[in-house]
Amino acid sequence: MPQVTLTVNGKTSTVEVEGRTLLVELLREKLRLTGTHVGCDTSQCGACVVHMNGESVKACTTLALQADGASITTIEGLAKADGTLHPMQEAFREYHALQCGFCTPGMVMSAIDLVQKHPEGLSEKEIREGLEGNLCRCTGYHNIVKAIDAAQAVMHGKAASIAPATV
Amino acid sequence: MPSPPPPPPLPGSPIGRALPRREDRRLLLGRGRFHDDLELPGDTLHAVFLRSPHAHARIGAIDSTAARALPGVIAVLTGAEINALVAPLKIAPPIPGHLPVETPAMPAETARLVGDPVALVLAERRSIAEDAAELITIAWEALPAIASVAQASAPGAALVDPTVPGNRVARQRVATPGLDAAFARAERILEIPFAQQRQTHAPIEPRGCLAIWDVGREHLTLHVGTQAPHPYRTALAARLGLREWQATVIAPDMGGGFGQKIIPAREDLCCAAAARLLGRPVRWREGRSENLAASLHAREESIAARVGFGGDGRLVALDVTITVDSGGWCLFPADYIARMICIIIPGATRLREYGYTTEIWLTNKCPSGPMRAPMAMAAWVTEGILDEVARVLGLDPLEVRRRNMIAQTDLPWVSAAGQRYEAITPRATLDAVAEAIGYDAIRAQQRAGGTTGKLLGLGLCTVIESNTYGSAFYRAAGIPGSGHEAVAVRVEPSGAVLASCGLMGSGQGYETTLAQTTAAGLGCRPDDVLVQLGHTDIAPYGMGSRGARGATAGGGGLYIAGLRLQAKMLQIAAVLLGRNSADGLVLREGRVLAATGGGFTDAGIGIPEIARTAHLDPLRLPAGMMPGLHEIYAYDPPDLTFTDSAHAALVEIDPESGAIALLRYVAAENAGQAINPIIVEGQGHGAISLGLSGALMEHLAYDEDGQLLAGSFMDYALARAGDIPPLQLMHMNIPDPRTPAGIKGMSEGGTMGAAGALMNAVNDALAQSGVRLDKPPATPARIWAALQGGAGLRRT
Amino acid sequence: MIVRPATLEAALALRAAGPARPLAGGTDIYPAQAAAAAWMRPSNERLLDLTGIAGLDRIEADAEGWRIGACVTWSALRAAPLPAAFDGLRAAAGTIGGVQVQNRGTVLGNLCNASPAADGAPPLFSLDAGIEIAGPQGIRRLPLPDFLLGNRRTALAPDELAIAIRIPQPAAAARSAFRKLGARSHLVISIAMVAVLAELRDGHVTRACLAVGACGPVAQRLPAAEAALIGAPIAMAPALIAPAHLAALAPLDDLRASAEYRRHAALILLRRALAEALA
Repeated sequence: MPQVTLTVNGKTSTVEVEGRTLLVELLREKLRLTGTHVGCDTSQCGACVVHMNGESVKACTTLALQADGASITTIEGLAKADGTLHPMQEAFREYHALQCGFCTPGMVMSAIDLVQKHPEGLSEKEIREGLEGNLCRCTGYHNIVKAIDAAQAVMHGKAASIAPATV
Repeated sequence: MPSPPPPPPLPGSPIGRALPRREDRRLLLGRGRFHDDLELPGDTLHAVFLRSPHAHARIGAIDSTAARALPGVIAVLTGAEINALVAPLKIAPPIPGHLPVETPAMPAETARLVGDPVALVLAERRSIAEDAAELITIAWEALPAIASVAQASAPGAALVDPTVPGNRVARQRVATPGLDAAFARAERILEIPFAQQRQTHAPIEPRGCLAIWDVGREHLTLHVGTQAPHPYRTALAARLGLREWQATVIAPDMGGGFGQKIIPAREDLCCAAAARLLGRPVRWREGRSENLAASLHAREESIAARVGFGGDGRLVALDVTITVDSGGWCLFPADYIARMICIIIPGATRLREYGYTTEIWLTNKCPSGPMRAPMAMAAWVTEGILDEVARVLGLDPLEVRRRNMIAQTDLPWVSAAGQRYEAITPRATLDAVAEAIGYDAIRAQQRAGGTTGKLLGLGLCTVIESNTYGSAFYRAAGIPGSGHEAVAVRVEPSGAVLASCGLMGSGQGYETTLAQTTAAGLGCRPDDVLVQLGHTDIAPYGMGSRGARGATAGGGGLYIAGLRLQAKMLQIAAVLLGRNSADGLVLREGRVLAATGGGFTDAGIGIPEIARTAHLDPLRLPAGMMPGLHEIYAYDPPDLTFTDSAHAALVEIDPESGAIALLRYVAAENAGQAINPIIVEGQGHGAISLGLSGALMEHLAYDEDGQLLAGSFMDYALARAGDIPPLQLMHMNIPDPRTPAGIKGMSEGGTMGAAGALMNAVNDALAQSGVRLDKPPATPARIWAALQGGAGLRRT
Repeated sequence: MIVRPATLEAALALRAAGPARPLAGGTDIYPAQAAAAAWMRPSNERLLDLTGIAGLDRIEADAEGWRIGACVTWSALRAAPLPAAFDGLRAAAGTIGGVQVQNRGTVLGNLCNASPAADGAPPLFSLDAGIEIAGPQGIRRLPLPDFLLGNRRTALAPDELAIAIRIPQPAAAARSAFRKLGARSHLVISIAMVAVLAELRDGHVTRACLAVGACGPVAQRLPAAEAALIGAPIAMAPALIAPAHLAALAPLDDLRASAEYRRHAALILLRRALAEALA
């Protein structure tokens, strides 16, 4: 069986895979990182989004073999070792941007990539357009957009902490 | 009997606080535990279903020799084998005009839809099971497919179910005695068609289960996402021929349900039976295509409305016929959703004479059932009628609504369908949205006409959302079942509080809100409470999460149970403090406070001291008091609570391309006492966007041969972030005097209102071109076809 | 079964050795496999991963024009410093599948998948693109209309590999645009999509290339419309595109949209795209 060596959340592993094993299967089944979800099988829902070499990709359409040598970040790799949440995670919590939580890992990974790619800042409309690869059936996206807006201020150093949500 | 309401929460209570959710941290860390994340026992078998490629076909000889010969394949089970292990689902409600019907766990003779399961392959790995399923051959004998009500009702049509003559499984007619006379005196009569396209719940997490049979204990543990673990277990045990204590149902985190995950799925039953038969755990995880084709569908309803009204726009008579394309099997009483729609149609109007006919038809499509706001169509029908009346009379739609709407002084009001409304404020919510959207300015802009060539449309929709469904509702509707909820609250020796009930969440935030109501009753902090849900062996038997009942039935029950335990704890506190009685003592945030001249002072003890005494030093307790601190309480809410809301949508249509842009959306709601305002707001967003998505783009289209045309999310379009505008919600909540802490249900009205407001907005725009769209989705192609006077899209 | 050669020669040898489907980003292949597997048609075809071959991920300009390697992703294309004539292609890149799919999916793979609704096809038709094909006999080139033969069919032989898209150097003054219509903008099979490339002199159209996708098995150019536009003043040009110019289209007629609507939508989109390109 072919082997893949990749660094996931800072930890390097060498894993035996079948030729057709998908990255999401490697993460979930071999490394037991089950935060990355499978929701649609056809690359539509975005529950499986991870970062590969700094870019967001859908792990259900990426072959494990193609990730050989890659650096992968999953939802499990965002929080600090002391448990402090990433500003995007903290913003999702503060703004009630998740309900069932199934789409959340992919949504958070996409949102972080989106914000990182736009240091100039994103408008509400640009945030919505940037989420085209992710489906959420619970929230209506409203609070997700607000959370990303709050998180970008912190990620770009324009605010020290996530602005409190108001109801 | 509905229970009387307890005293309201004290000021400063945890009820009403916008606390962040307890469940969020694990979900945000990627440490949630959904069914696909469960650690599987080493000898687990993987299940794959072979499904019918035909809409309607006799299942001839099944040859699974090659499949069984594949290394790693343990068994192939077909309908005949499964049905020897699992009793069929029998639906025979005591409802006039409803024929009794049966659904096997797996059809053995005839497949009734594309995706019907016809064989179950069990193998050491999922990929082996998939390969094996491909090797099974079936001698199919295709039968004529019934793909629409028109085909089902045609003379001599093939029968979907041989026991249902003419394919009509249910028919009912209800009318007020004065209906005909009212039509006779109506100045004007209009006939208006409405229809909804077939949709599905589409939780982002597909279904699945892990069935474990303990051979020694003869006990089944089923890990499965279900909104109602106890009723699920009752059905599971009965269908498998087990005593109810031989089955435990455990629901892991659920990635959305929306009504799709209530009863045992046919696939779940097959897996449970296989685990028992083979003595090995069985794991099933469906793919998205299976979920879209063969889980549960909803909403394919059409309504022909005949309305009589006066020249002033006041409705005097309404008669509707609802026709439902309900699919190939009845997994629920066939007519109950149609009846619920009809019961809600009078809405907030003063209509007095009303009649309805329900007709439910079997077709060779996926079975249908409840989906978030199953009665969603009702609001669009009521409000679409008011818009049409306004249009033919040349009156303003808002004015026509005001003329027809019950006033605050009319309450309590019994609707023409017999529903008693209390504690609603429809005029206030309607006025609020009209002002917030800038109603008058938009009408002026429409009159002035634009220069862009675009059609501006403004749609309003008032919603009377029925929710909670106490046992009195079931009695009145003739449906077996109850609407009470049993809860358990335990205070352990350390003062830690455990609260449980039979609800199971799929995103509603119960771990937070139920901790809030428990804490409000008990007098502790929400953080002191752990809410345990989704385990039939932990919670007392409860009815589960559906019908927007969780907050009132479960939350209300826990509030009362908390109050009862608080009373006991204060009696113990009185002993500990050397007082003669508990008078003047209260528990707040876990501390005992004593009334002292207009205020309260900390009495120096708290729940831990009381709990330790109750558990470990019972001889100190007042004479006759039971040791320990635990309360099991069953709360039966009123038959129904009603949450009212008003919705306004502003759209712009490009008549050249048919493209539609949703510019603004505003809603105002009276949902009773909010337990947690940020969660109420979130539920509103979700409900509204589900309704908008359905009205704008979702469509489970079948062709005339019964082949499904929407087999993936490429074809079944769900709204994405860019399709939904920012949502402006106004909360005008007034506690309901009939319920604990004034709590009502919510979270379905948004779906009703969004579907109605969106379609009314589209038709407000299209009316400027003299056409009307009588059925969503309002896609560019369908809007354009309507503008051309296209087929199926009527001019009025 | 997947093989991942490191050189083009090795890849061609593997192609010649037996059926092997070329794979780059995989954004079409995996969803199709998953959908098929769900209906008990698991695919056991051999996949030939091209992403290990150095150099295929480059966008280069030479004397002939532009060369877009087989492994160039939509995101790389969007980020590349291409002239205004590529604005339409760039716009198409931005409507494909969301950013995660753009990060993996390739421009040439989109053509090789040969979907009637391939977003990349209309802009590349309007740019007179060709395909560079490597095979046992060396390199050959095919104009795009000769490469795309029908729904899911290309002119690629079993022992060949499409290795690059070739685009002749557009005129410096060329402007382009892309428009698409679906149930919503992204991630749903389109109802119609169009691309327009135009050149102007003194306020008049001197050259126009119009292409329509999702209205037949393969995208196509509209030569009659292109001819009718020559010499037209900017303001008049969009209205000159007439229904008769779209007669050769063969759009689907299904429950999502009628053929009549798709044809009409293509016309409206063409007029708007042309107006955008000329603006």
